[in-house]
Amino acid sequence: MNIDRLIAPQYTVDFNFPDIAPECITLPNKVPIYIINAGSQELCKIEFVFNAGNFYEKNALIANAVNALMREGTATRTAPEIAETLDYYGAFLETAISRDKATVVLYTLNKHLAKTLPVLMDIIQHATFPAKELNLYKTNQKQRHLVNLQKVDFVARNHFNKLLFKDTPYDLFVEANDYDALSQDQLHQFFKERYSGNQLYVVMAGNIGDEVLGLVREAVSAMQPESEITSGEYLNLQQGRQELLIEKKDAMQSAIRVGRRLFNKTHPDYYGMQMLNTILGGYFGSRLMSNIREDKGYTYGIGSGVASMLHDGFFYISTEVGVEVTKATLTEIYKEIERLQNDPIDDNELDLVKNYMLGTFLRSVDGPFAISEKFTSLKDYGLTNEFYKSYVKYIKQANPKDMQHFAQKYLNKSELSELVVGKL
Amino acid sequence: MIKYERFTLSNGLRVIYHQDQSTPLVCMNILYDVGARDEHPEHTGFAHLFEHLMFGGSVNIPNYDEPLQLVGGENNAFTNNDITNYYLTLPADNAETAFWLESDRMLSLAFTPKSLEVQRQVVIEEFKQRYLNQPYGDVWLLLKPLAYKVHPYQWNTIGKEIAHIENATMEDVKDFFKRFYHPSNAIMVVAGNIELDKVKAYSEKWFGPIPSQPKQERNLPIEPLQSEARRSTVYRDVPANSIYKAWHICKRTDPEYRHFDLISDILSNGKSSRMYLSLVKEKKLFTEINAYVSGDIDHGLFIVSGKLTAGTNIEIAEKEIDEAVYTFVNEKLQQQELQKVKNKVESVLSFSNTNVLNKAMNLAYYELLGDADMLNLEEENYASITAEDIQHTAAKFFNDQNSVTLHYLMNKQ
Repeated sequence: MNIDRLIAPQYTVDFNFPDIAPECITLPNKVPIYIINAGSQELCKIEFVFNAGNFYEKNALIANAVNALMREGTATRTAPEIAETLDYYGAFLETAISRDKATVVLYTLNKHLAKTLPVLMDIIQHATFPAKELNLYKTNQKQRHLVNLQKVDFVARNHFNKLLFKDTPYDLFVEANDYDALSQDQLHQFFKERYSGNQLYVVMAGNIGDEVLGLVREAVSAMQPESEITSGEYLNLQQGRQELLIEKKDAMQSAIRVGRRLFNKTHPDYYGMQMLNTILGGYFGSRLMSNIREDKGYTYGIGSGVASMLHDGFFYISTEVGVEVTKATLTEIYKEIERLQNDPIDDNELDLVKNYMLGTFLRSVDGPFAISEKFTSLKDYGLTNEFYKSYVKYIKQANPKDMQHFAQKYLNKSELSELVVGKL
Repeated sequence: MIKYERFTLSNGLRVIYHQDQSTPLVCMNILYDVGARDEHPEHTGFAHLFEHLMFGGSVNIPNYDEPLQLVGGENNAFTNNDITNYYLTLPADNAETAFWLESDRMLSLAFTPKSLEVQRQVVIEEFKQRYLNQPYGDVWLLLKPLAYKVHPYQWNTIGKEIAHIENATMEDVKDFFKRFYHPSNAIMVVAGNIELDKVKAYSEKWFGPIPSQPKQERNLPIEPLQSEARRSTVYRDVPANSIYKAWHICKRTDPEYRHFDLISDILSNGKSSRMYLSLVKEKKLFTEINAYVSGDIDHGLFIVSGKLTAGTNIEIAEKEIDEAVYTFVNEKLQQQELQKVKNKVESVLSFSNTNVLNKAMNLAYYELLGDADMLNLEEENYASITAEDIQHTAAKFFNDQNSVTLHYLMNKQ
């Protein structure tokens, strides 16, 4: 067969996206359980979501410590007992913290759920934060922090956060002695306020049969949460450009951050900025990657992102580059931004970005676990599946003028802050 | 249980197909049977540099990424001691694009000087970012040559030194492609929402015409048994002392490999593991400690690494590690503990089968090891391991003569 390898095969971008609309059961105690029932393996993921992120902590690290130490002892189980049961039944308990939310997630084979679920329920209701566990956490995490301080990327992330969010609850700047300051009282209080007596919801994903649902339903019904209304206050303040250089004499590479406060996913310009961000630094073929990695070879990787929080948001560019090309990299970053402001993007490039974004969205909703992640990222903002329907519509109809407009509106150098850790 | 079909094209390309109708995607994984172990000792880091060049355009398609992104796809690749593995996922309707793209770069690369020049720089920055500009980043650059004196595992995938990457020439690149990038040196897995007849047709159409070449025999030197313990101490500007202790073990395909895997789980996997409970929590000698197998196809390493708490004596720390490891020689495992780590393996295997890309990668890797079917036998193979097996294996490999120790210490102030 003669084939012409110069001609690409036919393709379509008319994809069928699944709805992100799980079945919901609201229990008599008002706790909602969302169910995404799919998957061939006999296993499931059970996620508890609490309003217990860093936003609510009075001192640094409290939200992190509570989230990490919940599993280290309850009124009736010691830390080793908890660990032994979960490990014996091959379960994985993941605790995670974000700026707004805290999650406790159990991954378990369905056949062991009856044994593993009671441990999870005990942790989220009756954690005691024993002094010896807290002390161990402080020592070990502090050492990890000291190791991290030798990584330019970590230092950049830590300081950039402060640069953008100083004097707000989103300033997550951490110093080594913040670990020393953690106390049991603070942990107990935060746990009481943000976990045991607070608004929560549950998401189940995987192969959810009657038996699995029944176990979870019964366990969650026994909880006694108080309802709480989260405040919708929006923090976002316009900020001018700030510059910061943190010198590291012996660095071989500098970490660079350029960015600004922005808005969250409820803002009308959010889709547009997602797309502009993709063009600039959101995929392998982006302007920044093409120029700074694939043309100049200054870095192993460069990217940009749009981060959304309940009460704020930010845009950032991040990379690590050879110290001798730090200045040159910054010049190229601003050049690429100006190019987006001055010249409309050509249709071929925009089409490629659109198709890539549609494909990325399709990948991000592949399977019950992925769908559950997408769902929680909507729910917290009071958004529904409509958000993604509009997203897909937006991607398909966006035009070069829109992109130029957003670049001019949101990426002015006078409003972008810049941080270098290493050498300039 | 992962069902699959296997067929081979007349040019020697092995194709494995797995259908998963629950996903809207198709994954293609192409494993080339070439890794850092196949490099010349004076041209190390080459397999990995070559992986970068595979994205620099092929003979008929000037840019690999653009056409893939245009159809909504995404890709990546990795290189290790043994293999170079390329994978992509794309919407199922656009699956043929994957066959078109991957077959063209198996046929031939564009070999543009610009691509080589830029990717040399990119890889040098990767070298700095991951190995030189990180605390403890050079550990493997130190430990591997201590453990291996003859076998190519003595160098890391990134290479022995930056100069080797700087010196790579276009001639080297072309020669490497010729030797390792051809149908009979590759295993292709296509998994996802696609029918077998389509996979067969697209494979024939796009890969069928690629000329066949004989697969080269691999003839690597065998690392001789170690006759005495090896030790090294280095001082660096780091905030904590750390220790790395390794023992030479079996090959990836030997049954003993699974025994070491279970031993490493017993020692450090999870918060109920032995070393975490005794050395981190109770005795507070380490802030973190881990045991793991290197996973190499040829004779590998069993490694324990840990960071010491301030004030802990390094000799005492090492003695504790020895005790934890040599216990497996002296004492038979209790049934409960053995069952625990077996349960964990079962769970890990089940969860890894929920992802179509994982399945594709695993099928390719097990096929390289000898037979994709070994993936489906894995659970059973682990389940049948006895306490006696583990003790027997431990007795064979765990002794000081067979060990390599690196003390990685803080600079004296």
